[in-house]
Amino acid sequence: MNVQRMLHSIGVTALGLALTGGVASAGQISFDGDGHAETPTWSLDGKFLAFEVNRFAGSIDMFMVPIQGDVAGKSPMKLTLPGSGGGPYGGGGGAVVVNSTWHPDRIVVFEGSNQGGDYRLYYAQTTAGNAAEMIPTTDLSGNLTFPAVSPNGMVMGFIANATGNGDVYTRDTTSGKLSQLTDTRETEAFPQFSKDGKNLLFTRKQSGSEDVFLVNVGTEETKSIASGSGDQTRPNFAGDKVVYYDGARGEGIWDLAAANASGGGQTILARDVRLPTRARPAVSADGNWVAYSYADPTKDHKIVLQKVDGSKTVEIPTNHKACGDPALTEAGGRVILAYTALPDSGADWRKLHVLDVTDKL
Amino acid sequence: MSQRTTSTATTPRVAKRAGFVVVASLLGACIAPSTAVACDMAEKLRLAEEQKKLASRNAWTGVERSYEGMLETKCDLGFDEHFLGAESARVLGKTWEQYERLERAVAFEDKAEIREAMESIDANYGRVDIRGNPRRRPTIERPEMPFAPDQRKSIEWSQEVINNTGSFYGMLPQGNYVVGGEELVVETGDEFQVVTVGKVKGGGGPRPDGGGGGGSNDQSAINYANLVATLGPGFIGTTEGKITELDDGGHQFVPAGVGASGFAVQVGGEVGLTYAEPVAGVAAVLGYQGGYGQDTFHNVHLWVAGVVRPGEFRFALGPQYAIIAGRGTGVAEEFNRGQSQANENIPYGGLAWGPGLQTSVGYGLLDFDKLRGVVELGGSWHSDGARSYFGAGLRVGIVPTVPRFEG
Repeated sequence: MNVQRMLHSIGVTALGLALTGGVASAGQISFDGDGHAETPTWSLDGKFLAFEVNRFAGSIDMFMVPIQGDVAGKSPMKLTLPGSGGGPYGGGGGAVVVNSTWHPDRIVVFEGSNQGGDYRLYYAQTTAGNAAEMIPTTDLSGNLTFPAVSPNGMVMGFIANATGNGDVYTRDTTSGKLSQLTDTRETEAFPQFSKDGKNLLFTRKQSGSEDVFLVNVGTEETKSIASGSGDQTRPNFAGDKVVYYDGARGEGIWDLAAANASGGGQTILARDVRLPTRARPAVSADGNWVAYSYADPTKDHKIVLQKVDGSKTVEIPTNHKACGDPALTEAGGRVILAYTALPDSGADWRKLHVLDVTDKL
Repeated sequence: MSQRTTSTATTPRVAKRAGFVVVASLLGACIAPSTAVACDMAEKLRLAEEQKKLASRNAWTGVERSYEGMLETKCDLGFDEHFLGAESARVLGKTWEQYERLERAVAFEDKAEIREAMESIDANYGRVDIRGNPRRRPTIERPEMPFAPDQRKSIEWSQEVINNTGSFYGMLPQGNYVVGGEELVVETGDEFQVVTVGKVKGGGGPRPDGGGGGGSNDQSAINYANLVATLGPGFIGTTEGKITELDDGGHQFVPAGVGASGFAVQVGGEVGLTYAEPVAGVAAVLGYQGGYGQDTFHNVHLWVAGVVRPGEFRFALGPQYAIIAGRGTGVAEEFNRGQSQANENIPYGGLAWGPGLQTSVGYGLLDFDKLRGVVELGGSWHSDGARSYFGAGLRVGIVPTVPRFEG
């Protein structure tokens, strides 16, 4: 029986290898200088990738690179904040630039802070690295963070602390008008739009733990989506579900969970996943797949793609270790995965990789 | 045209005053052109310092004003000034001005970031020259406003300019617009897309549908209307009149040519009737000019003038009707009725009236909201049929401000 079990195991492994096509060979995105690549985000058309580089000298830079298939079209362009030591058109250093999101018109929106300054929202177009401020301080002061843009580009959501510890605001693209959706003493974070732009997910830290809520942008009606002990954080829409990271099992232990977008029906999709540096769970363009990696060092050489309904799981093995920060897009009918990872051996910086996984699905 | 003079007593004839010399001196002093436009370096340095301070406070409207002030000093500006001027233009939505100033800045220091900014503008904006009727100003709308605040500002700036002037020369984000009811697709490129909307003097173009002027703001027939009032020293003079022989063989009494200095005052109003530059209108004033001394004149006149207001200048020209009362000593040299008294000692007095012309050239210096403080040089002529009367003066006063979009 042991032999039968062993043969069965070999067969499964062979089948698994056959299904995954062996070890994946990804294109690596190089960038200037040293640092850990983090938090890649795709433009909505899958043609551009924004990512962070943590220099560990008190600064985090953001780069933007065109992608053709699974290779970089040219060298990544660094985004510069206005006033970052080089006058209005930047050029200096010492800034922290994080949390990118994309508008359909290939405009990347992100939060950034010059050294010692408030966090503000900026935007840059793919034609130049010079960023400009989205909302001037005269319109709304304080820290503005966590930008999110509706898929149709008509509304931008973000968090502002001008009125508390962090409330959800929106900016209407047509009128430029700012609206405040939440007004509480708790800290809100991680806004994320539904596909139709009518609803906005966010988290609220209350009674010591973070829970997931949904607000209707038009009526401001709010309802609970996921709650429990520990933190339920970084929600993202996936079809008619909401996927999020669940820390109910204790400090530093994270599971990938799902709930109904209408509330309730909380389920665990995967246990002991690696919590990305800043990102939400990566969801495919059609909302059917979610990507994650494992915290377990014995399993962290692969990225896992799982159907949100749990019906199928695909493992993408790599030549790296500590894989993380997965991001999915679809371009030209192909499904492209971006992720960060450390080299398999030796000490080095975390690099950014891009891989066409269409055939794996 | 008429005159009525009487002789009262004889007095020595007053030597002819060098009135024309005085007038010529006034003219020379007032309108002698400067031989060179010098750079006002002190002002430029002051504005440059102010520009930096305002930029550090994000007071970009002030930065823009400082930059425009520096351009007027005629001094050469450096990288920093153009750089900050480009940023203030960007914040205000003046994309074309931003681009031009970046070009000037990069000529000093070829920075990659500036080139990138220019390339980004070239990639996302088109150049447009929208020519509309200043009296029937078109509207410009974009059905879908862009997400990027800079692009939005650029559109809002064009709307403000067109709303105030009827035309726009600059850059707009590429995309679909409706200008004066007509569709316009702005595309990227180096060439300006020329769009003529409605009836424009000197050019044709599509008219709004239905003749109703859809997509336009019709302006009032009157651009502006306000007070005119001036005051200042003046000179009034008259040539020696023709000697007319009467039936009895003697001469009609005719005063000698004289000149007298005094002051002039005018009060009236001006109405602007056009919107295209230079703005033109009509002014009507009731004026008084007096000359005093051994000969005294009082000239009361009504002057109706066509007025043209290019920039800060004000040119006025038109007919006047004057009534002049004079009293003095001295009659025409050739006057002879067998009098024993010397002609220059014969007193005179009387009234004369007749039509003439008056003109003035003024320059605006002070701003009083809807009125402008001006300095002007005026001259007049009228005739009573027998002699000509001249007046000249240097006046200060107030005239209506021409509403102009300063941007």
